[in-house]
Amino acid sequence: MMPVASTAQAANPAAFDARLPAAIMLGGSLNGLAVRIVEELAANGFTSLSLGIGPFQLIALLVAARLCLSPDASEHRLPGWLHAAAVVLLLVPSSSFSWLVVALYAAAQACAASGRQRTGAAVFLAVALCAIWSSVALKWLAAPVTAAEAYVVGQLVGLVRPDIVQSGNVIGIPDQHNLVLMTACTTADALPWAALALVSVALLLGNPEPRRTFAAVAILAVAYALANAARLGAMSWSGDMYALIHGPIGRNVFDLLQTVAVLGLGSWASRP
Amino acid sequence: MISLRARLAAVVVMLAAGLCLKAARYAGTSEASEAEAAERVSAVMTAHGWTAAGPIQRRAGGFYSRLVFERPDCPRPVLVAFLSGNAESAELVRLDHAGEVAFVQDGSVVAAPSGLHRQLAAIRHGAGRWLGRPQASPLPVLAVWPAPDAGLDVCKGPAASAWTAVERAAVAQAAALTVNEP
Repeated sequence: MMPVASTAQAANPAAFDARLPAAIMLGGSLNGLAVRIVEELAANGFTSLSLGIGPFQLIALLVAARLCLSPDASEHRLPGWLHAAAVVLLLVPSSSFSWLVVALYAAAQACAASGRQRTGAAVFLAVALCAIWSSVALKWLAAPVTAAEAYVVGQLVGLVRPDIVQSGNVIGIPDQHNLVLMTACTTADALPWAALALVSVALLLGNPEPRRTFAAVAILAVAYALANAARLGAMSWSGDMYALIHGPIGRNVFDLLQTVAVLGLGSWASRP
Repeated sequence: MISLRARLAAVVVMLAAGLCLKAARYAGTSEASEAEAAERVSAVMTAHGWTAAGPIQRRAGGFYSRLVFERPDCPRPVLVAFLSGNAESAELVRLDHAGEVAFVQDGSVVAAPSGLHRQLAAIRHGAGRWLGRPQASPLPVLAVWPAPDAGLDVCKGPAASAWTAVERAAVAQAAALTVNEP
């Protein structure tokens, strides 16, 4: 490792400098993910290779780190005290607070850096904002968000099954089969991560133009909302349908469709 | 002048220390365990003449669990449900009990649980522990059927004021335990 780093530093000093902010943002993100990792380990041990970190989160983090480490020479650097302050604040034992620190630090880095390093910092900022949205803001808004999505699903399913009714975040047949819509199952929770992964894939594959990227994200948003409504509607249909859709088969099919959509639209957005 | 490599190593060590601190915090649950919550609730109910009619029952595929309390001079039981996570099963509990339910969150009787209050309670609890103050783990959101009122009818269970005292009593108990520790 040592000779490689030395060669890179000699060839381009900025390449070595970029490691410090990249390490802080990546390490800060790991600190932000700590709660999820600990929960996953407590529940399932080491059975999951990703330690409970979602595939879209992993894609975004890896792309952000890669962009931050690209050998662009930044004209402006963050002052040393800002790096130190961020690292000290990341010691606070709260994952949500760590995401806040990463967001502020990444925003400062995005302002100071240029080129692909700036883009990388912006992706880290987006990751942190998505995490704060999912783990903090959405929990405050859990009742209205879940009830709103359940209302839409209830209205759609009610067109063909009038016996299925919605009340708050519950959809189903009273006293027979009820589906409780959890925050983690909502489009509002999953879509920001999928959109971020799409943009990350596009950035990894090329230099996407904003209009095409915006169109790809819009297509993804519509497709995701419809697919999730169909999935939730099917789960509210009956106990057997719930077992199929929520079980390994249904879950893997839905995950596969999401992945294909994100990779496909990301690839399309990256084309010139 | 500290070299970049030394700074990088220091940053990695600090970030690893941050991860260890978080692992230590999240390895212990921030909320009281179901057994601890059941014990605290049973203490309140026993003080008002109610006895648990059996062990904790899991309901709705584990979405929530509940204890049934009975009193010899009352025709119907009082049910206390424990709502895990972000209390998203609140509406289901309400439907299961014909809407006649009130929720106890962070020492207050409320019509609907609040995610914001739950997070603020967790922050208060974490900050208190961090500052070395005696802390009882916050209770999960409780759903009580029938909904507690002013307590004029003993067969409707303890009054609303009894539920607001649960958290305070637990904090006082935690403080006493801290003082008694050698």
